[in-house]
Amino acid sequence: MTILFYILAGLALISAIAVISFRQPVYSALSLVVTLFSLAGLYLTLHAEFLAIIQILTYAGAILILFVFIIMLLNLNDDELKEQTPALWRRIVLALLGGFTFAGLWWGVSKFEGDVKNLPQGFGSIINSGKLLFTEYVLAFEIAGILLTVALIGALVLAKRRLKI
Amino acid sequence: MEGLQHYTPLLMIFGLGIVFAGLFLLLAYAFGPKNPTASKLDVYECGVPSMGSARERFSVKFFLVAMLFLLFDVEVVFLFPWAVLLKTFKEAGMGAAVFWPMFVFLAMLGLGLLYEWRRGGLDWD
Amino acid sequence: MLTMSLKIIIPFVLILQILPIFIWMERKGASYIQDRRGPNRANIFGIRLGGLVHTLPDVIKLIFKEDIIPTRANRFIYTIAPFISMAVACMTFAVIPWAAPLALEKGSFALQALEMNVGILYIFAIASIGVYGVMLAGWGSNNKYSLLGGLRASSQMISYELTLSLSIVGVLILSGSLELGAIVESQSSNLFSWNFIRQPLGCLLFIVAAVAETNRTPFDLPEAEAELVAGYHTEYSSLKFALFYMAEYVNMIVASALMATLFFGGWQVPFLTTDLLREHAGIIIHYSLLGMGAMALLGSIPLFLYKSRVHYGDARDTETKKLSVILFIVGIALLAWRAASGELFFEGLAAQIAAAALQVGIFIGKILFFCWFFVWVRWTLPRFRYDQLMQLGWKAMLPLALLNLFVTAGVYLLL
Repeated sequence: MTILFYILAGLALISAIAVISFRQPVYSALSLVVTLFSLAGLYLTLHAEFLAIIQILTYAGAILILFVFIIMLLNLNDDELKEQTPALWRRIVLALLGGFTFAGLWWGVSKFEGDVKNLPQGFGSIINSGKLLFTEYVLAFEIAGILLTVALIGALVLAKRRLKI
Repeated sequence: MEGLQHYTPLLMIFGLGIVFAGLFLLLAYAFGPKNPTASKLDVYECGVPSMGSARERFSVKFFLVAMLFLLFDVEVVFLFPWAVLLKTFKEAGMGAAVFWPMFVFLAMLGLGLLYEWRRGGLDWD
Repeated sequence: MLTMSLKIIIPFVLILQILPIFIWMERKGASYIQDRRGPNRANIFGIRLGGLVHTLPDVIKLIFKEDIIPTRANRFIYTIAPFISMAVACMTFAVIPWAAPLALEKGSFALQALEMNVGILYIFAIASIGVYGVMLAGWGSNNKYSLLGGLRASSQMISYELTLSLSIVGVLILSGSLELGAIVESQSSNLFSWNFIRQPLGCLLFIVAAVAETNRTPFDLPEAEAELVAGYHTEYSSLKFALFYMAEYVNMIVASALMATLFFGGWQVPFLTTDLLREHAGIIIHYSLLGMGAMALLGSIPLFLYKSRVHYGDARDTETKKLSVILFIVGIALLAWRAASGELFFEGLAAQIAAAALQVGIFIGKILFFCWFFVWVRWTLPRFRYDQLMQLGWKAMLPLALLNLFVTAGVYLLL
């Protein structure tokens, strides 16, 4: 089973690198889909069925659809794409930001002390995650609702302003 | 973790889909004649010489639809565990405890939808 | 391992068998609704089976067609788009249960390829990937018509995907599970407790959204031929076109199977519980075989007497005669065999398998009915205008689905 983990993790890493290496944004988006699928596979190896399916349903099925829509909305042709090489200072700043994020993640993961080998019965099932969501984390759930509503209104305001030109 | 064998069929189904669809691409490549001509490979626009490129920017309305879809899709994701849990909670006598949080959640989104509707965000033109 | 692969391959082959029947139903249904005869020429040694044979030469023809990749298209995206559509369509059927689980000594044996607790979500997740196939086909072809078709198709699919998932929440509340097997079990064999009675609005919304999701008339704006040539597959030829075509039909078969499973009792035989079926499987099969024999016998007589007004001058002239003789022999053989051996009795595993066979038969019957429903709707209703389509999705179906959800939850908690 460790082999499965290495295959999926490797796939996730390779496709993640592919996301930032392709110049054509559609290829990047497709590589990101592969990354998300391998992440979903990794969740499955931890028996988090619900999480794995949600990963595909919302990230690959909704968020990336939006990305591809935007890529198609801008619809850059090949000449326009070649012109865009970011300046050196931007690359350095972005690399630093990425490094910080990675360090933060590393720190967070190294502090994790749970037992992932002996999971309790029904771990990651929809019933258990749902119970937590609607009892312990009900406030977070409502805040997510507010966030979604704000985004709903924000999207309209942005799109409508464009439409009125 | 022997429980992972439970997901072997999933792997096999993915393999089946990929092999089956790939087979068709290979068959087309292997058996189809190959005599391309310039006009055959040109963009098909009903025989009229094509004007401009298809790489044009298109209406922002499609983007708005995708955005709305994303937000409501996230909402639906919250609904699934809620719907499944309702039975368990009802049997435990706590039905209202899960009903009202979802009511408030959906009411907020419903208001957002109503605002969108009134402002004409749902109109196509 | 062997049983596992059989569990995947058998339903897959079954769906591939329903596919030509469905295409035949579509062609014949269309022709009879339009008062014409439809396909009736292709034959194998004079056997035409009312046009059913036509699908075979179609596939062979498409194999030997030139596979065109337009010079301006993006080769990789152009090639991968039909591949994604078909591969995704082939993966969705996995969680559909075909019959009641068999009770073996080792434990219960589910007649479904993949048992996942999140069953229905698996289908939605995989189906949402199908949007990429359409979107990339439109974009990759680098054709204005394709691009518009792809855009329309994808925004339509995502709009109705919401209603599709919201309309089944009511069903999930009633069954308390996402697993399709459990949803079927919860409907029981009583026809009046099937979900289309308990969830009429949800059922209606689901069917409409499923028709929209598969891009069928009245929602076939992505390929509105008067405006967009053929929509996102304008530039596709040969088997790449066939991949899109087949993916559409496989998707419809899966959608039909889902309608049957979620709202029409799945494999449940009306008023006959699994236990009852297992107990009396022998008698039921005995009498249905007798009935089939009698039907074949009765059907062969008018077929034998039928005289075609057209004279082809080849093997096709004798087709009805040949078929009627075959039918007659089959009928006699069935009747004789059943009359000679008397009533059947199954015990233990054999009874379970016989009951499962009956349930699979009923389920396939339901699937074919909904396939016919797709055809019927397609040739009855005119096409929407695009703004009407979007307004129906967002202003009518989405609020109705939310309403249905709350009414269901409220009533469920109060009862």
